[in-house]
Amino acid sequence: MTFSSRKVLYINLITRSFEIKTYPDLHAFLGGLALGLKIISLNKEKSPLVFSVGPLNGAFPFVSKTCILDYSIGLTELYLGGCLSSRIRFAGFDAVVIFGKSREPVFLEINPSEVNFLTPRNFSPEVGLPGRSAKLAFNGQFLVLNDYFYTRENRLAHFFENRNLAGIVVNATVSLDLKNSSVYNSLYNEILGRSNDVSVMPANNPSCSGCPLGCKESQVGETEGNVLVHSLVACKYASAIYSDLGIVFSCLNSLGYDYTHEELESIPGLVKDLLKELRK
Amino acid sequence: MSKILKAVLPEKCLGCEMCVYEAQRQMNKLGPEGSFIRIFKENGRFSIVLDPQVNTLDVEKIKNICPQDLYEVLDVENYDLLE
Repeated sequence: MTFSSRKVLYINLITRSFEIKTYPDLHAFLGGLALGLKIISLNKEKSPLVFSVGPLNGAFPFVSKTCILDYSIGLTELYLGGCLSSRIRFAGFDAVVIFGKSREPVFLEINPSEVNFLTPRNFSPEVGLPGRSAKLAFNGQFLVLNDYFYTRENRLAHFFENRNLAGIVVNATVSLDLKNSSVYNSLYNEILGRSNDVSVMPANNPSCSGCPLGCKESQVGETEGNVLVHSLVACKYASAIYSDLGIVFSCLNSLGYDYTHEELESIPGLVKDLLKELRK
Repeated sequence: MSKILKAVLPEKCLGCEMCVYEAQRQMNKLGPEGSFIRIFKENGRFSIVLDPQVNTLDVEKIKNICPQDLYEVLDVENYDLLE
């Protein structure tokens, strides 16, 4: 994974093929919402379904969501918790894009360098690497992540059904080296110590990966919110932490990402322009 | 004396993976691949598998990062990892 380029996995359900593309010129779009909208803008005619993550997913506390954008019936913006964002990130991707409709129900197994298209003939319920995967599958009419998390009004289920997509599993087998570990660890612990700034009550529910709070709100995903937070993609309840440009700049810097304050300040403007284009 | 990490209350696990990532951070890594701690989900419950090599890390930090206090650190005499 490079820090200036964005790596995107494209999956075509009609031809059952996939392609990995690296974009050196999408650095300005950070990740999550901004990156997802730009990807849709580049692929409008294919009515894509996009799962996008940000550079802090899997690295900092409370940055635990995946941005999901669908462009089949207008533009739909969803966010999902659980461990999906860390699995996509540590499969080596900034985004996963799905086109087309499969001729029969298909289950996708996503690995860092390949995608397996599994049909009822060759699908096993045990698909996915134990302890390192995220599985989105139907439980009755609900599309559920790891048997617990789902999107608001179960909307993602409709987009899967319309594409004859039975489910997805993402296997995370890529690890990244920490280059600036003392700075990173100090910042990580500082943010972890700010759990009182997260606007949920800690509880004992299954928790999103990288969040110790176990709140009841995380089971059902979010919809719209702060643009910077949703480009990272942090939990909206942690907006008090991750809407702070200084904190975000420091976090990115500690991981080796080369962003200026001006680039981060320009993200809402980029998103606004893309939304205007896509909602015409 | 060696310090040994033990999951004494695995039924309290939330699946947050804070321990998984703490173990990786101590190895200067990000990501679950190769972590000495694995969290599985079976029949609606989380279970924890500890590789004995986790005891080469700072296990007190791993114990302390768990929001559910499900780990204990035991002091054990003559605990050697098998080569």
